[in-house]
Amino acid sequence: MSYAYLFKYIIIGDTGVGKSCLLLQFTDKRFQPVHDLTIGVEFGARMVTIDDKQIKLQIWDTAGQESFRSITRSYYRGAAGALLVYDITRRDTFNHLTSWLEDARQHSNSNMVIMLIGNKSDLEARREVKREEGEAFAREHGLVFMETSAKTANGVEAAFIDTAKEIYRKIQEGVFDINNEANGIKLGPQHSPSSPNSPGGNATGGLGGGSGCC
Amino acid sequence: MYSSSSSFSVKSFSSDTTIHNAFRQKTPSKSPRHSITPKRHGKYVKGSKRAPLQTHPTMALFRTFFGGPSNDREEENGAELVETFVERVETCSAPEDRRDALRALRSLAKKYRLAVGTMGLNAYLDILEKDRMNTEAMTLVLDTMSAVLSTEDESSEEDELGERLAEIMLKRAGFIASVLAAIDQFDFGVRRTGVQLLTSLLRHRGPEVQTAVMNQPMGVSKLVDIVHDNREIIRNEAILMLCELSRSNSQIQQLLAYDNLFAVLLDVIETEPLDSIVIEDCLFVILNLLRKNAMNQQLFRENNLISRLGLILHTFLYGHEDQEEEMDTAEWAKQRTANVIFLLQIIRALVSTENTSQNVHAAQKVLYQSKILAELCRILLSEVGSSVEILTESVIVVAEAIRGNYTNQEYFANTALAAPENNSQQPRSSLLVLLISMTTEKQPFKLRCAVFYCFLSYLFDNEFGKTKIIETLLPQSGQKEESFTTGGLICQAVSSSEALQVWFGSTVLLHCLYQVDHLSEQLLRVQLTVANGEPALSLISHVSQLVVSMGNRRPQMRAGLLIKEENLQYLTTNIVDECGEGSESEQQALRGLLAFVLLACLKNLEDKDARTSMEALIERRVGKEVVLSALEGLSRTEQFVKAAQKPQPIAKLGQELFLDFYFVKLFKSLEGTLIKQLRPNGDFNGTTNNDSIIQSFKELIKRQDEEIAILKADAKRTNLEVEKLKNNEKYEKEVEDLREKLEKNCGIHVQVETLNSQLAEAQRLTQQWFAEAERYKQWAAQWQNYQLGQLPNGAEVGIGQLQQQIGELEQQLGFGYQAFEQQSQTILYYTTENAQLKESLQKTENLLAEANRKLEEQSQKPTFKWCHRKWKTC
Repeated sequence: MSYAYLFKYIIIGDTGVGKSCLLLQFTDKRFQPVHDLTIGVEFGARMVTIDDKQIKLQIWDTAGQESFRSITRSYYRGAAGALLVYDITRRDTFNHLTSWLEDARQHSNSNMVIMLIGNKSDLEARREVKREEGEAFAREHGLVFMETSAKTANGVEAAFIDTAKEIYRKIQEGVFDINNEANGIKLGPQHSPSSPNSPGGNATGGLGGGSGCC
Repeated sequence: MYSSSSSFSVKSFSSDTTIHNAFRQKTPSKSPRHSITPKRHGKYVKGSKRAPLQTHPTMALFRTFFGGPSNDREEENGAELVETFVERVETCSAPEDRRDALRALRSLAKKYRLAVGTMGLNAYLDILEKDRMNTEAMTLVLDTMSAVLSTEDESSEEDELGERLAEIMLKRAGFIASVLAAIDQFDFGVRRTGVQLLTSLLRHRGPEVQTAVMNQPMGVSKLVDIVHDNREIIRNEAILMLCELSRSNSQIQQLLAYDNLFAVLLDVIETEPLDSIVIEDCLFVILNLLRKNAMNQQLFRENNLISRLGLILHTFLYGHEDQEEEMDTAEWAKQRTANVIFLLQIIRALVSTENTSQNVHAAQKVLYQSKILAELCRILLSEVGSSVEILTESVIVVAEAIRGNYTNQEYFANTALAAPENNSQQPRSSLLVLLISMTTEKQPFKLRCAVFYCFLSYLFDNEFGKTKIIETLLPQSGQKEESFTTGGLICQAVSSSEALQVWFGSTVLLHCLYQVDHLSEQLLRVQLTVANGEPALSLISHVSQLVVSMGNRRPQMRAGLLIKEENLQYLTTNIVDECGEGSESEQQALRGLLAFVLLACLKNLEDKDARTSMEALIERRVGKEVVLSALEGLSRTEQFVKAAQKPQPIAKLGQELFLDFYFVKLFKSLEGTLIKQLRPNGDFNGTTNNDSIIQSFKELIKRQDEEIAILKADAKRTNLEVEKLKNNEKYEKEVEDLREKLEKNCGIHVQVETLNSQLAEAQRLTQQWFAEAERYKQWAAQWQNYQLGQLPNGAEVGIGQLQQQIGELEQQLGFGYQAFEQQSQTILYYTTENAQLKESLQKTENLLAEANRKLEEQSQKPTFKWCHRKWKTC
């Protein structure tokens, strides 16, 4: 399927916060209550429509465990967006956000859009981190904030799409150099590379609804 | 200064002492410097800036390495030479001198690898870390290091010295970081030699270097960036380096793919001429990244790279569109053929049976949609311009591209060889083409094997295809034998005199019947009506042992019809006797096959009488045990194990083809039931048992996993408790303090006690004193009375005397009272102090009791400590 842009995302955060489940919910629209530990990095893709443009999201889901940290770190540079996930029922995962953020800022390109996600919002009874705290953290560090539930799918779609919108906005503002693939953005096959910063004029004709990958 | 030499021990160089030991032995005797003097190498020594020479411990190491009586002085001199230069690099302050010394080392690097590699290592690393701006020195150092790592002797694969040297280098902290930093520099020489050094390191210690590179943030992405370098030499070196970097480590493969290496390499391929070796290198990297790496295969599909691969393949096969004139005439350059084969292997890696079926299926779909399958079929049917190797490889790719995918299988079956000059009425279908090449003796064995595999892949999971082939065997009205049919060709193969053809033919038939029972009935009809001389029996007696893997199939399906007395006679005699020529293992396999057939017949007999009579026959002629052991023996033969490995036949020679992968599968599934017929309630130790062993191991592993999980949870809990206990340690410390205080107080108590006793003593003394004083008073009174009585007149005198005495006594008494007063005061003081002390003692005792109680509480949790200990021992 052809697309106007391809965005690379990464999902980062402590182990067990639901990164792989978020990805599965977004790409396959299903929830798997028992999920194996991610080893290294896994990968998924889906097409979304933003501003009448087909945009392909390629999402790399990283392992949260400390032992994989040096490997996952290598993925920061090539990504246009990152979902930084914590678990609202585990305060320690919230407390570790600073170190994740430092890591991401250090190794990624400066324009990477980072979205802060408080996952497992369905488990209201066991909540340990208040919504306001997440909002405050996001405000303080200039992130976009959202609470999601990979189980009920609440907010999942929006989380990924809002990140894509933010990247798209930055492209139109000319912040991203879209000819450098190292930024995690690629022009689609039918895009003419001669007018990289005026994508508005390019029609993506003949594409069906924006669902499903591969 | 040479710390790593202590950890450097090599098992077997020229002498059998380890270098480490040799170093120990030699060092003491080496202290007087006897051999090297500056004069001996006067021509290299220009300045007089040299620092006083010091003995270099590596010398000893070096001597041992080349040591031994037969060794010439030259080697030793070389080492001394190297040492001199290394010292100059380390000590010279003039850049030209250092540069000259480095150049000299570079020139010696090939000849004295060990010396140059080890003695100078500190100096090299120093330059790499601190002298980055000095590109000339950097280049020389990097070049020298990669030179010592590579051997000139190309004949042997093993290069132990290079490997050791690489190991020593990698042990240095920050070494890889320095190399990567060097590669990151733009200077041509530095970057190029840096990449070369990394390549050599990867060749020797791949996994270690891969990990080290991954541990550098952005290490991999920077290496990928170098492929973009517009200086072609560097780009090509980088691709060579990636060939090594992309080997076998799936994590680094993923990372390379993430950094768009696929696209980058395809870009390179598209710009290179068709017979460029750079293309092969690029394809090799892509192949590394895709092989057995599910995620990268997925990414490759996602990014639409398969269709791009198709375009490249097309270009390779038919040349660039704008330069058609050179096509079809000359033979392809060797490199072009090699490139095409690599391309085909990449396509094959996407649909290989090693991958998950989900991945394979998705890739097959894309191959169909992107018309690559069509392209491949075209190669297969046209044979234009392509060599046998390419043909063979593309047949195998087609095989795996259609395997188990009905759409692709049908597409393949419907392609046909267009043969206008042949003026025959029908174009030959690709299936016929396959069978014809399979049955043509003069075709190379490899190609026939590939074709055979392709045909099997067509049949795989394809009931419709199987049915169609069997139908061509059935008698059909109105159609004459003039045109080839697939069935006809198979039958022809089965009854041919070439063993290989018979084997191919029978195995193809086996696959036609596999898992489709109703077809076997139809096939029996064929045998009965069409081919008289062709039933299973005649096959068995007909040709070599190869037939047997087929021969056993047909009777297995509907044995009842086939069993005649003479069949059995034949079978039974064969089991007992030696089975013709062939190796022992082949005979064992053959006997097993015969037993299999026999038991299969028995199993399918529905008629009770026939069954009992046959059982009796087996018992009488061979004996149940013999049959069973023959059957069990089959699964232990080499041929069986070999065939069980892969669906694609891996034999190199025709004779090696013996058993088929699916026959092995079938055998395994049937073995148990067959044995049960003769041994209804006994155990059997066949392959199914192996499965059960595996099953039991699996269960064991599962149990162990569970145990591990439990232990992990335990450990977590214990850790928590240990944490808590650490808090308790605080209490313990408090208790300790209290105890100390208590001890002090006890001391005070003792003191008080002694004071009390002293006090009591003093009181007793005072009482005595009082009593004495009383006595003196009495005496004094008596004395007074007596004196008064004796001296009536002297009463005045007496009184005076007495008064004087009284005065004295009163004075004494006053003193006594004073002393008494003082004493009572001290007593009072002591008693109050005593009371206070008693009070404080009471308090401390309370505290102590409290503390003891706490201690007791803690010691009543022995489980913690136990767990803790257990965890430690774990």
